[in-house]
Amino acid sequence: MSTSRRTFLKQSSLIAAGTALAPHFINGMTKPLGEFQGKRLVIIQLSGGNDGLNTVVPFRNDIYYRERPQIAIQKNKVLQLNDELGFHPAMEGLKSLYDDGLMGIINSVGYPNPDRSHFRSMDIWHTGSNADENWTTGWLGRYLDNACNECKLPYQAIEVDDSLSLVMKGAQSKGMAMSAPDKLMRNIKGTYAENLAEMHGDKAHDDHQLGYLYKTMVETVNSADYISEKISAYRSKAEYPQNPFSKNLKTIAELIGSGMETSVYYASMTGFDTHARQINTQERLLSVYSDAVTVFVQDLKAQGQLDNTVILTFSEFGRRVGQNASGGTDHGTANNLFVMGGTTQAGFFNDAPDLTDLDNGDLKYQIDFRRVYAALLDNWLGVSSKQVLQKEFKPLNFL
Amino acid sequence: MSEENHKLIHLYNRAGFGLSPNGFLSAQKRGLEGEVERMMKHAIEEREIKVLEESPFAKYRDQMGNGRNGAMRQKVQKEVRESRAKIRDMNIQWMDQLVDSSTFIREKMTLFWHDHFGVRNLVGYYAQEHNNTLRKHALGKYGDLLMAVTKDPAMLQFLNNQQNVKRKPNENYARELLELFTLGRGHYSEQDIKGAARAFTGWGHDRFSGEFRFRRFQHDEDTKAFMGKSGNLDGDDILNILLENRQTSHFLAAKLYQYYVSDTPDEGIIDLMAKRLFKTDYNMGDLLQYVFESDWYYEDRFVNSKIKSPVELINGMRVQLGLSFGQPLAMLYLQRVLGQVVFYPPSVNGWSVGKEWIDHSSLMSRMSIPKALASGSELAMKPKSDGDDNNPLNRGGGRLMRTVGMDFDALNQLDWIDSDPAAMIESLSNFLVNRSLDPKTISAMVAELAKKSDVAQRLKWTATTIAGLPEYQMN
Repeated sequence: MSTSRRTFLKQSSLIAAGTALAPHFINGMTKPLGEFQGKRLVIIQLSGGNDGLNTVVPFRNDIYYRERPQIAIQKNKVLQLNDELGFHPAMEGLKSLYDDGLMGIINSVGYPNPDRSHFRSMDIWHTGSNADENWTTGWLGRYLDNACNECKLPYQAIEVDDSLSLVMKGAQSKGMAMSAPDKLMRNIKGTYAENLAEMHGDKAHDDHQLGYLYKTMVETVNSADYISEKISAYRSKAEYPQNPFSKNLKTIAELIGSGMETSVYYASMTGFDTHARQINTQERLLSVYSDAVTVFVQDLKAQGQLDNTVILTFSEFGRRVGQNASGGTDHGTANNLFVMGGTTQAGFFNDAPDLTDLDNGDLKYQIDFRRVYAALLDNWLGVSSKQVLQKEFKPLNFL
Repeated sequence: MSEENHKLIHLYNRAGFGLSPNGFLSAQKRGLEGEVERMMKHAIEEREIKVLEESPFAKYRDQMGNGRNGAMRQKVQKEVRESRAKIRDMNIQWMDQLVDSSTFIREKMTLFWHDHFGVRNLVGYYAQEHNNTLRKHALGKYGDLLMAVTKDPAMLQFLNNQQNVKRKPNENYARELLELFTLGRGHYSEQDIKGAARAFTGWGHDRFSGEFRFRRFQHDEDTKAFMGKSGNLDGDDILNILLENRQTSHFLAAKLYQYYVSDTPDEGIIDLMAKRLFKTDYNMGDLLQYVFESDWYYEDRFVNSKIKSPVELINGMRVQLGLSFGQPLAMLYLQRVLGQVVFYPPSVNGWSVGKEWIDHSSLMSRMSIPKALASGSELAMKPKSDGDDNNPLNRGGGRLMRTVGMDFDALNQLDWIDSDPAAMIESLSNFLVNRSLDPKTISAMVAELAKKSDVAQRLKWTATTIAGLPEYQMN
C-alpha cells in the first residue's frame, strides 16, 4: 500500500467516524489484523443442472439401468459408499473424504411444482421463493440485510466471480463479487476510481443516487486495499489443480486463511447441462469438481479452519431418470446436495431416491431446499431464518 | 453552456440515448422550441424486425398430424434450433434501431414495454413477433397493446395461458396481468385472480402458425366474479374492467415516471401523468409529448436523476462517443458483460431499476469499460454463465472486443471544444454528463492533461475519463 493511500485511509476513517457512512466498514479497517473467529459458509453452485443420478449412483437399482441403457454407470466402476449407492468413478477424491467422515449427502432435495427452466429454477434457489413467485432479492442478500451490525462489511459475503448473482443481492445490502483480489485491484487501476476516492472520500455528493455511486466506489477501492493487504500475509501451501474452478476455491481458502471477516463465500462451476453425449462431459466436470473440493477441504483442515466452515454444493435441478435419444439427459427435478465441514453430519442423511415412485419420469422431492437454508441460517450463521426466508421452514437436522 | 442546451441534452437523454456531436450541433441551431413536436413526428416511423418469415412449425402442419415420426420430429427440432439462433440477429438489429436517429422515440418506448412484460421466448419467430407487437402499439393506446400482447403466442406460452383450460385453469397469466401489467400488488384479491383466469380459459394459439385461437370448448362459460362485477365474463371484459380502474393508470404512470423522469418518485407528478393517461384512454404518445413539453420536466431535480441501465449506458456511448463494433456479436458480448441482454429479460419482473444495477463489481466494470473500448482491448471481466447449453445468446468470446472502437473525430469538430485543458474538460463534461464536474476532479484532470501535448490525445483521454466517472452512470 502506498503511503498516500495509508494517509488517505486514516483520513477517511477520521472523516467517517461518527457519521452514518459505512462506520462498520471503517471499524473493520482499523481493527488490528487479527483472526476472524466466526462461522463461515461456502456455497458451490453447479450451473446447468448436474445429473445427480450419475453422480451418486443407485448401482443395485434395475430401474436405473433399464432407463439409462447407454449412460448408466456400470456397477463395477461405481465407487461404492454403502450397499446401495456409490460415487461416479471420477470422484475418487470425494470418496476419500467420505471414507474419512468428512462429507454428508442429502438426497431428493427440491421444491413443490418444480420448474424445469434453468433461469427460473436457479432464481428459485437463489431467492428462496415458491415456484409461482418472482422475488427480486436473494436469500444471502437478505441474510446480509438481517445480519448483525458488525456483520455488514462490504466484503461480508464474497462471490468469486466477475459479477454478482441475484442470490447475493438483498433489499439494502449486497455482497461483493471479486474473481481474485489482484484482479479486483487491476480493474480498479483501469479506472479513475482511486484518484476520485482520494479526492472525495465517500462524502463527495449529497445527491442520493450519485452519493450511492461514490460510496460504492470508495468502498470498493478501500476493500480492495484491505483484502490485498490481508491476503498478502497468507499463501496456501496446498497444491490445487490448474483450472479456473480450482483457482477460485484456492482464492477462498487463502481469504479464509488470511483471517478475512467474510462469513459467506460463493463459487460456481458451469457446463452441467448435458443434453447430449453426457458420459464424457460429466466425467470431466465431476473430476474437476471432486479434485478441487478435495484439495480445498484438506487445505481448510490443515489450516484448522474446517470446523468453522460449512461447505454446501447444489445445482438448480437434477435431470430426468430416463436418458434421451442423444446420449444425454433432459432437465429434471429433485437432486442431491453435498455438505462438508463445520458441524455437518457425515454419511447419507436420508434414503436413496425412490425410482418406483416418479412424477411423470421425474424424481419427487422429499426435502424442501429451504429447510437446508433454514438450518444454515438458524443453526450456523445465527440469523433468523423466518426473517430471511419470509416464511417458517423447519430447519433440517443435518448440522 | 446555455440553459437551453442543457435542456436539449436532458430531453434527448430520456427520449432516446442522448445526442451525437453532430446531432447536438443541429439541435442547438433549431433550439428547444418545437423540438418535442418535431421529435414526435419521427415516432410515426415503425420499422419491424423481420429476420424470420414464419413459425418454425408452420410448414409441418400437414405432416405432423399422424404422428410420432422420428425423422420428422428431428427436422422440426432442427428448425427450432435455427429459429432460436436467429435471436442473435434480432438482438443486434434492435440495438441498432434503438440508436437510429429516425426511430429512437418509438424504439425506446418499445424497450420500456419489453421490460414491462418481461417476455422471454426462445422460439425465434415468436420472440420477433412479440417485439413487433410491442413496437406497433408502443405509442398508441395501452388497451390495444395489452389485448395484442395477451393474444401473442410468445406471451401465451411464457405465462402458460396456452395451458389455461376450463377443466384445469392455469392462473399464471391472470396473476401477472393484475400484479405486473395493470393494478400492482395489493389492489386485488386471490378471488379476482381466479375469476380472471377462468375468463381467459381457451385463449391460446395455433401450434403451427402461432396465430391466436379462441378454443371455444376449453372456455369456461359459467359466471365469474371479478373486481366486484360478475357474469359470464370473458378476457375482453377483464381487460376493460382493468383499464376502467384508475389504479391501472396510476400503476403505469409510476413505471413510466421511473423510466422517463426520475428514480426518485414524486407522487404529485405521477398523479398528473396518471390523470392524463386516464383522460386520453391511455394514449402513450400523448403522454410522452405531455411530459417532454412540461416545464417541471426540465427542473434541476430531474436532470441527471436516473441511473442508466446497461443498454442505456452502451447506447449512450454509441451515440455520444461513436462507439462501434467491427463484429456485431461484440455488441451482444458487451450486453452480457454488463448484465442486460435485449430479447432475454431475466423474468416477468423485467430488469433491475436504478440503484439495483449498481454493486461494487458492476460499478468497476462500468467505470473501466470506456477506456478499454476506446483502445479496442479485451475487457477484464467475463459474462456470467447461466449454465444453459441451449441459450443462443451465449455466443462469442472476449476477443470480439478487439473489433471495438470509438470515434473522437466527431467530437473534435465541435467548435466549442477547446485545446485548453480546463476549457476542454468543461465542454466535454457539459456534453457527456450534462453538468460541470466537481472543482477537485477538474483540477486533478487538468494536471493530468498538462502531461499530454497532443490535442487528439487530450481529447481521447478527457472523453474516456469522463465516461468512466460515476457521473456518467446517470442521466
